[in-house]
Amino acid sequence: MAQYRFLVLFICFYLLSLIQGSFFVPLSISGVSPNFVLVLACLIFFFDSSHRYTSILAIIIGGFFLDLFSDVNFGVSILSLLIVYVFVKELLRVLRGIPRKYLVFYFMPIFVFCVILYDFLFGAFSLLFDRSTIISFGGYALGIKILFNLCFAIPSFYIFKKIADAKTCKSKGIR
Amino acid sequence: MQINSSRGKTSRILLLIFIPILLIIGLNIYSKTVKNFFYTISCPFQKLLLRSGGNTSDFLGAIVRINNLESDNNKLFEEKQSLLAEIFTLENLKKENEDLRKALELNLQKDFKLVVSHIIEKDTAGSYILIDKGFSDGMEVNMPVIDQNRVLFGRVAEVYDNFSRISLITRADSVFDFKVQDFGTADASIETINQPGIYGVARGNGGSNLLFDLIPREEEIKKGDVLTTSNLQGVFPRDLLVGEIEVVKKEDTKPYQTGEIKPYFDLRSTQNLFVITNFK
Repeated sequence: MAQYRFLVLFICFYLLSLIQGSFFVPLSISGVSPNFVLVLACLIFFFDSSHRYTSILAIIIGGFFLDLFSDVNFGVSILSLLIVYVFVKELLRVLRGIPRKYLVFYFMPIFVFCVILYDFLFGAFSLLFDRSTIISFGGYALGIKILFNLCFAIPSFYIFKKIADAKTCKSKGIR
Repeated sequence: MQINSSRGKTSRILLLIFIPILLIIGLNIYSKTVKNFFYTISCPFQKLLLRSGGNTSDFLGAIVRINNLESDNNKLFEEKQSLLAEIFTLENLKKENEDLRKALELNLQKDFKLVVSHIIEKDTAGSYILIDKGFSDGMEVNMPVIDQNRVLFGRVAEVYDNFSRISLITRADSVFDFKVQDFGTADASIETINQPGIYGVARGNGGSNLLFDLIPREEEIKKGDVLTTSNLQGVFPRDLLVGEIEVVKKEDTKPYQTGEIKPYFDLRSTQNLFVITNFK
């Protein structure tokens, strides 16, 4: 089961990295493309309530592909995603017992927070690993990044929610 | 029993900490090999996806433009009228242009030794592209990258066996000198182009933004002035097209003019690039 999960995540993250780094380049807005790997990782963090193993795999595999297809050293995205994961889990712990009906309204601000935090951490770790790196954080590009990623994160959220609901029903034996 | 359980938990946590650390260290040691391996596997898919993305972008662009068809039509009619008027003037300038073309030797192959490459990926953080030529094709760090129209894209920043990463001129750490040309104005002539000219420094600002600086206050520059590389500092060969002045900021308190440049390079429509391999 663990190998199967690893394989599925590996293929998903690889395909998403390819799509975001090539197909969406001509469709970018002001040079900003959506970060599908971050979207998928955040969704896994948000919905992975019991299997922390999946989140850890998402951090390592997602981070690996983000670093692979960028100009930074390996580890920058892995560490950034790890910190984002810790923050998401802490936020979810504080907000436990969220009514499922309004789940999306909790997800959206958390996701926006994740994008901002990841962007900041990515710049900071890039600088830490390579002192010659010049980081740019904030500005209108960050706003475009948030909106662009949200456009894909919200529909994906409903797909994940449907899968999570189906799983819950199955585990409770409800048809 | 409890001690065994807590020991097991501690060892699991230690494993979780040490495995990623070892993984990161290992990946960084073999960084070039790992990246080259994955780029080789991904290259055909990336080319295909990049082309599909370009087609999709064209298709969506056409849909957006349908609404503006009438206004575009009117605008084109007006432009046609003004172009007809300009043809007469241009006929006279034709001879001068031919001389100028000879003088500048626009034929790229004559000027430079070039290697043709294809764009296969663009970094999501922006300002970087990946091309399908690497160390085995003679790529070296700092080689300039242009397109068939002599438009400057950037320089080679990192070389793998079969791939190279190109740092675009808009990247935040990109700094180079340029010369302001006066091709665009009606009174332009060979004499004005050949004058010593106005020089400045261009600086990348991330995304698709390029800024300029260090043009003395007394120099006359305006929106639309064409900028080319000057090779004063030896960063790029001279006379490569950079872009045109978009915004000029002139302040009484500052000795230099600053502003924004609209770069000529267009990643959306470009698939092939040329790397200048004989420039040192």
